[in-house]
Amino acid sequence: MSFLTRVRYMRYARQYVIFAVVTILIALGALLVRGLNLGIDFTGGLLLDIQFEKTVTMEQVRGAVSQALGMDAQIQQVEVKGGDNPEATEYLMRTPVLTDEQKAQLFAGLTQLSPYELVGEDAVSATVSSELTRNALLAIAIALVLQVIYISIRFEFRMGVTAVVALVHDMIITLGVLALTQVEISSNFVAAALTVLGYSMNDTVVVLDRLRENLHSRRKDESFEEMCSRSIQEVVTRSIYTGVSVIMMLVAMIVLGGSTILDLSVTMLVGTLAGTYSSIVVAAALWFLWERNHQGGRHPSPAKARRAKA
Amino acid sequence: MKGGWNGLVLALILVLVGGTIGFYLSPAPDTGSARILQHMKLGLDLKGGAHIVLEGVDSELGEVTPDKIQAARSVIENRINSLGVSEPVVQVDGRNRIIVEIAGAADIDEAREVIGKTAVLKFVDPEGNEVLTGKDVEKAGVSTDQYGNFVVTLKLKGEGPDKFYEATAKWVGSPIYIMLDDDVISNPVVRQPIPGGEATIEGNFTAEEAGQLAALINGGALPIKLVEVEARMVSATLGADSIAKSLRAGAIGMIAVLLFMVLLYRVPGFLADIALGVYAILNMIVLLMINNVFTLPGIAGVLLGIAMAVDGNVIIFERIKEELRKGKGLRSGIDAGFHRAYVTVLDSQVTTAIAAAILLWLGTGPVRGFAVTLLVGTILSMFTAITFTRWLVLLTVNTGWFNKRTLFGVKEVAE
Repeated sequence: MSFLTRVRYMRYARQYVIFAVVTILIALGALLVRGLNLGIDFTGGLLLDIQFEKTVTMEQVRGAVSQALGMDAQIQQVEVKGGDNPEATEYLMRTPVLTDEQKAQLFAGLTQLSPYELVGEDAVSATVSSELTRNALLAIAIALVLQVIYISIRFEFRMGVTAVVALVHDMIITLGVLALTQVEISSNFVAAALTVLGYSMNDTVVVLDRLRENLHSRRKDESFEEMCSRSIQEVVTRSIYTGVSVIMMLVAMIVLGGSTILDLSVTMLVGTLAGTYSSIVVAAALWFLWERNHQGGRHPSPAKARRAKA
Repeated sequence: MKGGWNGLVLALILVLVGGTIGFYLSPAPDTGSARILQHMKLGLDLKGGAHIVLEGVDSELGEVTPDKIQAARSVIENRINSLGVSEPVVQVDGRNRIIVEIAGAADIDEAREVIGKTAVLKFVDPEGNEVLTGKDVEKAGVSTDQYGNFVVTLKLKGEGPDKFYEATAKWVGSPIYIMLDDDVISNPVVRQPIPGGEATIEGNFTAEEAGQLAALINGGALPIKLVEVEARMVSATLGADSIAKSLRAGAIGMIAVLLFMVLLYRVPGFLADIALGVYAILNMIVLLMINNVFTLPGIAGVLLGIAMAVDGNVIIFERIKEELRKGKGLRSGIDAGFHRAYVTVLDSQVTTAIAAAILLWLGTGPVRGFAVTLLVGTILSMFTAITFTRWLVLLTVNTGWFNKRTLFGVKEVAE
């Protein structure tokens, strides 16, 4: 820990930015090559209505489906339609489009639970409409603009811009990891992505806040780079502690939570990690480089300042 | 004596908060958790609801085509969203059906009525000529007239204003019939020609009825006739088995975070845990009061709120440690720490609250569900993470029993 509070962080600002650009390119490459594994909420699929003669639990059905198909289906128990068999149970199952072979496997698996009747089998459309997605993106864009305005007023314009760059970085990295791991994405993803955006912005603001504070109370013998590095040294412990708290929570959800929220937990975990380091590696580093290039005269190095005095 | 007094207050708070949390978390049937669950409205993903299947049939409106089914699907989605029903599932099933799933069971009849209506709006003159149709309406809203009755206001577009003016000029003294599907919902008598493209529908509405009618008109008419072929109750889309697992996982994760705080910050960490408990209780009360429907995105918003409350405390306590390491005394270190961390926490919370407010305003479905809980969470944590925690910490220090700096997670320095 004490090592982390002594690193001269901003000496390596350029390297951070190069690292961020490279990882972004890798993530974009993964997105292009492998694409996202969009689930039935986005693509539509098959809706099966299956009535078992005996009482079968949802856990049993889920187990049988994932064993037969090697993937997870959306399963809901539904009021039994017709008949007066008190033991009968009925389930609605939403799966991706299945080949005949997969269907045969699925039905074989279900027969082992109980004799059943296939009440209905239909192709169904996506449940996340393009309208909803468009709406969400528009809302996020407007929220980002307002956040930049707020940060520009309370901090400064350049900080607002780099904060949003960091946010975009986090989203691309998260999507890239989802493309690499091919975790199936459901409508839960919308919630996870919003959470990542919120967390990342919060984390970035806290880091920028320390830069703002130290910018106003700069020590006499300190260069601009030293001041920025000191700011990171001062907040890095907090970044790690908060990050660890959130990650503990998410790891618990990944390990112990059900398979139906796996995409949510994985997205949040990757996004939290990216959101935590990007506050330093993207937001602070970019701001440091930008500010130094354009406002070099306002932040003279101690050597120059001494010369000026003399 | 002062120490004893502060200690008494502190002990009282601990007992109160601990007791409340214990009462509300206890799984026994006659305690708070049962009562909360009774009042909590859960969404389709967590509790299930109704599964309604509508089938398109050929009628005078036209033949059923895949395009029209798609169009009908989005009309229905818009209607449900403008009714404020949270996060429905609306999907096309096969070639001529639409599946609608909505949470809860209480309002199903009402929802069914709204969903199933074709909603062809017509203004008809006494000779039976069509004056206006739903296509001439830009936006419908709810308002009250001078007697306080609820009316539906219509803003007309395109040729609508001209057509309406001509008709009202021609029929002064006669009634104009406003019809939805085959029902006359009102037949006001024209007193004078109405220019400007604004019309109102009066009809002894309750606020709710007026809202529904406005929602129907705004959603547009269904392009085809739909009949209900099936309505059944379904369980949660997430699956009851997964929800139980996730809840347990969440509880374990939360306990780990609470322990982590105590490990890092000792006495203040414990006090922060207490503040988090108060935060959780207040959060729940507010969300129940505004009748929030809990869904997975909403819970994600709650979790982000908790994370930010934890972060607020970490920021403050790190700052206090920093001040103490500089050699400040306990009391002044705490004061300086809170004072300096205050701005940081405030700015980060306000930035988040801005985003949440925009998402609430512009978002639909899951985006809205997330935004509501996040907005409530950030506003509350500004209070609990800063004001309440500060009060608790000062109270504790004033007892004089916890004055060792090691209790604040700082190594004792030689003085």
